[in-house]
Amino acid sequence: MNGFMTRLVRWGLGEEEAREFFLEMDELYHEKVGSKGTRTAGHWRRRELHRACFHAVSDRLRKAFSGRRTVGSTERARSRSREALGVAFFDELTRNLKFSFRGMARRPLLTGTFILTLGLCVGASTAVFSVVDSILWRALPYPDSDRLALAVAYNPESGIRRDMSAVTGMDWERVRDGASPLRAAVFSDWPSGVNLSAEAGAAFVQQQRVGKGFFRTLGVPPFMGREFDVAEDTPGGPPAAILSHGLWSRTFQKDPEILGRSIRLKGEEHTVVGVMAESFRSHLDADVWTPLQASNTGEGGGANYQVLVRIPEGTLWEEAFARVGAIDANFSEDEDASDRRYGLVSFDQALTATMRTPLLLLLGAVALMLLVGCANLAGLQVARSLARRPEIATRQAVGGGAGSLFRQVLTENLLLGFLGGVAGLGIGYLALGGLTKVVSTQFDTWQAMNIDGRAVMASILVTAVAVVAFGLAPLLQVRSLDLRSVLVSGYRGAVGGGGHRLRKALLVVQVGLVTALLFSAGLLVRSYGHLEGLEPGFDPEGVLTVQLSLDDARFSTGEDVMGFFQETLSEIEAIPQVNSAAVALTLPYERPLNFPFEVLGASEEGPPTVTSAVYVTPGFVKTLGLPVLSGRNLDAADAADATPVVLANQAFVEQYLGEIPAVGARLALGGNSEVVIVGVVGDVQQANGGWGSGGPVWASPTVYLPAAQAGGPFMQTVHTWFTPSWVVKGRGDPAQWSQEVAKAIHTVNPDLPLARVASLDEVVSRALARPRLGAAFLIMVAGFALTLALVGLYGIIANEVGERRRELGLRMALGATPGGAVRTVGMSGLRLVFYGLVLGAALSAGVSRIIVSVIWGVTPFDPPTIAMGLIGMLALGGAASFLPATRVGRMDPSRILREE
Amino acid sequence: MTRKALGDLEHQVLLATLRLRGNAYSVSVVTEVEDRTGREVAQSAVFIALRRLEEKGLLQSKLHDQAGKQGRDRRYFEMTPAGLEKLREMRQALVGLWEGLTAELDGMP
Repeated sequence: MNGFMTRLVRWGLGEEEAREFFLEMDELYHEKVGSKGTRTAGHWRRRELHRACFHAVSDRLRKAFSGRRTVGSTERARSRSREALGVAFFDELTRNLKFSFRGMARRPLLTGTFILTLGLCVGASTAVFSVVDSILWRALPYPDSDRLALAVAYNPESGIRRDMSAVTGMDWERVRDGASPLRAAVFSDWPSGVNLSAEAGAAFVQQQRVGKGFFRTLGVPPFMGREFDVAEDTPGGPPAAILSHGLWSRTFQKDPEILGRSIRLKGEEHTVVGVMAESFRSHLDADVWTPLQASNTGEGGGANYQVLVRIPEGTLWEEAFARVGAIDANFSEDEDASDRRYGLVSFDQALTATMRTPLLLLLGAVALMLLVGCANLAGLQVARSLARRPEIATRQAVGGGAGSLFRQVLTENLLLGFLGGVAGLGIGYLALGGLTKVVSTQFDTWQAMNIDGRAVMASILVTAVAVVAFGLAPLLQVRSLDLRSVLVSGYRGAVGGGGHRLRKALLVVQVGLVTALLFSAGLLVRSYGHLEGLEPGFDPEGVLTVQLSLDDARFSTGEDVMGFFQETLSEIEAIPQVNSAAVALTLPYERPLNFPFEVLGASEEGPPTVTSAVYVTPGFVKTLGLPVLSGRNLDAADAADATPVVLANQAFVEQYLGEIPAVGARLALGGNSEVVIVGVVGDVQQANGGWGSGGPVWASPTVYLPAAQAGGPFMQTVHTWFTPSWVVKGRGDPAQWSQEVAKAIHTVNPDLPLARVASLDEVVSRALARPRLGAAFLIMVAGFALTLALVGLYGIIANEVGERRRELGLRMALGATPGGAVRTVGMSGLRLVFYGLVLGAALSAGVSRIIVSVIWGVTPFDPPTIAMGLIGMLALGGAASFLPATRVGRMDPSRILREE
Repeated sequence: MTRKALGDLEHQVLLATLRLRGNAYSVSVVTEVEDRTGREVAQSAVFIALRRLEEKGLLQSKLHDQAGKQGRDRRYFEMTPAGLEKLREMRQALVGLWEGLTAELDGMP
């Protein structure tokens, strides 16, 4: 305790003085010992030390308070005051903070607006940054994940496309054999649901199929057991499975004896060879892994595989690229016909290829909003500093140095920035919860989204930039203040030309940014409107869809599948509310199978091309209400042993048949089987399969095959990719009889879990969720930014009205009409809006280059969007200008002039 | 010269310094004040008051080599003309107030 008090005294008096003091105190103590005895002297010493603490500390604070302006300061006094400088700093800070708090409390509305604006801007950008960061920028959760790549085939002329990383079985074999010493593994990027039969009941689980060495290449070995071996990964090899930690825990209660045990997956026994660790994440969110058993026929005949490559330590990316690039990628005899090469794409970039632009667009939108917010806050601060000019001038005139004023304003800004930043983090945290839910339905969000150190750092940075941005303006004001003119002209007359110009310039920037945001939002809305307004081509009213996985040993032959279809359909059609039912491989608005075909007998036989292909049962056309345009519908007579037939849609006929009469035209489907078109049906919208139109949905050329003629091997292959849907049309709300449908299916096979039950409306809605999300998000952001800009404009004009009272009063007294005065003031606002629009047009031209990749059915130079934006901005800007200007009209000139 | 009034302690310290005639430092001032007033004063308060009065220009100080205990330097304070003037001012003000109050204070009618 004594030590602490001694230190306090030293701090209070300074080292030198304290030493003197303690010596003299010692001297007095000894005197007291002599005169009053040791005991009394000891008491005195203790008391004296307490008192010394108090006196020394208060002396130091007193000095700090009185500042450095000591009267008759000797050299000693000056050096002492330097010691006190630290205290003085904190003291001034405390005073400035107190002053700022008081000032903020005096203007709760302004302060609240300020903090809320900054909070919303920072919060929104923090939340969106967190999402984008977790999806695009955070390292993949694998060791040395920057050494992981996908081997892709590309044409040097068109370059590598990150979103086209699928290769064929032949490609895989060549890369595997030629890429050594790079480690490579093959996997399927196609998520597929499969049936798991466990004691607890049947479950629909997500499966990913991977080749041997996949986990070793990722760098994450199974937590229990091993990976697939060569035998298991060879076609026809023993069925094996690796479980996710989640599935192992949920379904098998973390059974430690699980390895080597058999589980019933896809209708047959699979031996569990491994369990992944709890921390393991994969981008497909798989519950179970099975061997891919890659080959170069069947599935491997097309580009359905992904080849994962790990670049070993010590090998440069360029070396690895050269190594892969040296592998011969041409299969054609004719060397000129195809110039294919192999290359590498970093794994994380390949995974995020399709999400990058839309996500960056969202981030860009909030960044613009943040800019508008900053410009707005800067404007507010300029307005405040203009209003405070007399006060500041007075303070400067009585000797408050420019430095102390500078610090005062800075403190205030830092405090506002801090409060706004804290509010922003809070808002960001709340917003992230909602945003995560929305975003995870649209993007692969397999990494946790949270406000982590990076997001906090980003928001601190953003706030700091914002503080500097909006703090700079008033600081410049303080610096350039002309004391005399402010004090002489009094409170009203000061014409702060520079300040007003700055504030107006900030507003023009805001209007410009808002225009660009509104333009982007408008285009996204128009694009969504286009997608929404597309003729679906079918009637979704009262249609229920149920998905079941047939990637299952119980459905390995065509007869098994057809038998199941017929039994379930007759059970379902027996339900009183049901009108008709059918099965289809894929639904409208979902991604269909891409299938190669040739038109036979055409005058000039082109190269094989691609169509969408859907197998359907005969009731499909009726259930969805597709119009049969010519020829006939499929019927029960189109059986396995009958002539192979198909239905083509209108788009197919237009795109591929040309002059050839559609009904009766012959096609070679999938390379060999010859089929005849017996009817033409209307188009339906389907999700994009990676060819044709760039939009998310389009009326793709499609052929409908009778399920009965599809054949076992074909079905087995497509069922590993697609989960077929039962479509059921009935009366009333499908929700009311969906249970009956489920029961009907389970009557036939109680052991098949339902993968998904949804109305067709929901399926359609889900297909357009991403563009809808983007449009809604941009509307929100643009709306908020617009509100900020309009409030800013209103404030400027209201302020101008106040400041020009005398001038306008005088004008009206001299004969100007009130209407004319209102126009003068209001037009000054509209002029700002006009300059902003010019700036906005330039910005929009830049934005349109980026946005063009996410809009469909509209061009960036969309007249309605531009017209709406122009008229809207002018109308709203006019309102925000003329509303406060009307106050001029209500002025009484004689009263204003009397005020002088 | 400052126009600010002095505190009680500062007043006492100035008077004690004047009495000590060149031998004033915190120990001697404390002893002088305590002896004359019969009341204990805090040495630290006196120590600081001496320096504050110096800042105000009412005292000036000089370091005396090896005057202190164990041969250390010691700082002695003495009056400046401003300090003397200040004391005169204060005496004048107080005497003015005291005038004509003897009877009341000493219980005489």
